[in-house]
Amino acid sequence: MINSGKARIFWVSLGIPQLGLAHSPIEGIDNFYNGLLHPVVVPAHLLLLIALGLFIGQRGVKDNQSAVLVFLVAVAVGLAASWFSVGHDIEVLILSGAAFIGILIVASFAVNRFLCALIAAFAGLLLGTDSTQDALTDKEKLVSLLGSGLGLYLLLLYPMALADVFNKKPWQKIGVRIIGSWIAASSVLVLALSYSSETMN
Amino acid sequence: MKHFTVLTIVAIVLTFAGAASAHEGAGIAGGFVSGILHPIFGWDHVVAMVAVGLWGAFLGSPAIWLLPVVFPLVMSLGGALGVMGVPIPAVETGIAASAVVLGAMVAIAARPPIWIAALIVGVFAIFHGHAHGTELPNAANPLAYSLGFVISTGLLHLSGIAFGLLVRWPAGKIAVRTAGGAIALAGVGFLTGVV
Repeated sequence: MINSGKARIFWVSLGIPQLGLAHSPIEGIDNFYNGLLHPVVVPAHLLLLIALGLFIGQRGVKDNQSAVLVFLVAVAVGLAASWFSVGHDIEVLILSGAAFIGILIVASFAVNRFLCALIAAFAGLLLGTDSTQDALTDKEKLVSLLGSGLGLYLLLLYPMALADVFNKKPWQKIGVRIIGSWIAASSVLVLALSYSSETMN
Repeated sequence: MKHFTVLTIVAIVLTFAGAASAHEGAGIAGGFVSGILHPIFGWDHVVAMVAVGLWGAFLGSPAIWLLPVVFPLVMSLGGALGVMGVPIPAVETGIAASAVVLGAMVAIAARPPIWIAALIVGVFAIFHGHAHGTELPNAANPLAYSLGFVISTGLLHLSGIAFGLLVRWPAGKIAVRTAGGAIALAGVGFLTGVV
């Protein structure tokens, strides 16, 4: 009986670290705000959003309005998929996307509208699919996902507007490219870490 | 006697207070802050990063922005090797040598073709990245940590660029070259173990 009790405590204690996951809701705030803050508190999401925003802004928002709309639709599709809990453990894909877009920002070469929209679609789909929060069900989950959708869209707009506005003087363009290199470098490092962790396991 | 016992217990407990630091790095913020601080706490990293900025400013456009872009990108590859446990011989020697070489380049006002400057900076970035990368698995939040140390590295480059812009004036040129010489000397100190 004592052994059974100890075993139970052991298994319960193994489960405790999972409560600290980035995809767990923050206690003390409502579900909509929890969802809204989700892209802010998951660093991989924030990196991909900043990268995509800078990427679109660097190429001019006016010329790439379709990418912004495609991102919105892709996020909605991704959130719908996450309702069914599809897309666990896709952080590696999100970081790969951030690294790829970071390199495109550094290279700063012209990308046609279709490719820009395709990249926005891919990023939106990944972010939406990965936005489900553990421990939420039914209405709470729906409200949280709606908040995430709004949060993802708002957080895309800020870097996009900044890169679009600061796209005139040479030092402004250089600044955007340097931030792109920082995003790519950070993403590559964590991808290496996840790869090495998988190899070790 | 009772008061004495209580006072003794209080005194003992107070001696333990240091261990419970309020600024203990944890979570995203802790990972980010420890990432920011990691390059700053190592003199060898600091002087080499500043030297990259100085040299970039000395060489002018496009080196002024190309070198600070090349450095973090190649550094991340060095970091990836460190994370995956791929050994690189003499990492600390390479970091110290980076201060010697980059500082000397500024001191002697070397103006090689841009691709050679990028190659020199890139080679040394691997050593710096490897040193940071080996710390990554222990970080509270690896992504926040890596973002922190990449941004910190970039800001050190920026401080070098800001000082390096003094080359526009004759006296400023002397100041920048002197700073390069001081960095090279510090590198010699790191290599010999004097600093």
